[in-house]
Amino acid sequence: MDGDGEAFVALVEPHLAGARRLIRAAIGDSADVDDALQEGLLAAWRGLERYDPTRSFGPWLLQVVLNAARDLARRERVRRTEEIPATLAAPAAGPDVLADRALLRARLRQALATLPERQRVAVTLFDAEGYSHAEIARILGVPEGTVRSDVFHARRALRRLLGEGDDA
Amino acid sequence: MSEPFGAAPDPGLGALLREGLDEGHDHAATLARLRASLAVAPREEDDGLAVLARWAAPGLAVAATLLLTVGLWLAVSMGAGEPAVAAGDALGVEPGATEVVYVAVPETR
Repeated sequence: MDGDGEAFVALVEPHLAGARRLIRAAIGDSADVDDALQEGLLAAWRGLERYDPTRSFGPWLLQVVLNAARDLARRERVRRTEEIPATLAAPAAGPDVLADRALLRARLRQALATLPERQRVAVTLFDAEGYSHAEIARILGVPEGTVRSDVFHARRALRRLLGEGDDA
Repeated sequence: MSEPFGAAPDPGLGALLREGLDEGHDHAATLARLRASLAVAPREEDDGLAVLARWAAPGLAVAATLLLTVGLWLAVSMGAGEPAVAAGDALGVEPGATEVVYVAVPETR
């Protein structure tokens, strides 16, 4: 690989984990997450000329990666719309169960799977990745108010589904 | 988890999301796969058609400007070699003597 390639790897490496989380939030709990990530990174590599260096690299990269992941999901129909199990919709089973991190992770992914894609992406970018509403709006190509609304609804739904209260 | 309408990121939910969505991530394997892919993946700038496409618009603009400049230069230089002569002067008639022009024109053929 030439110097450009190594420079690109250095550029994207800090964003890899976040990009993968975003893809997983977008297309669901699937083995194709890593394929989608690679496809997105290659799309960014090929389209690097379109990146405006006066703006932050992270949002641009995530936008490209997200679009590539969506395309892949459409093509391969990897997105699964799983029904939320009755056990998940029920109130919290107790602190001992919540202490089980593996179970909590599974519950979280199941809960995420019940949300619309844009809400999953918005809440992941806002709460897990720390992007602002304005940056998320640019990544998703929607108004900032829509992002605020998506984050609000996603949080409320996650709270309900994870059994931490019912304010719906 | 904080209030759903909070304007700041929720650290608790954020950590939970990262933990839940990170499961199974092999950072080193991802990097190795990326490096292998980049070694064989051309960038747009390496693509001949993409290069042509990028050059097409400015190239056409330069060509049009050159044509316009050369055209103007030719027009000016040709016009400068032949001083403009009024029709009346060429025919040797007084301005306003249209009858004479009508008579004189057939005779000059």
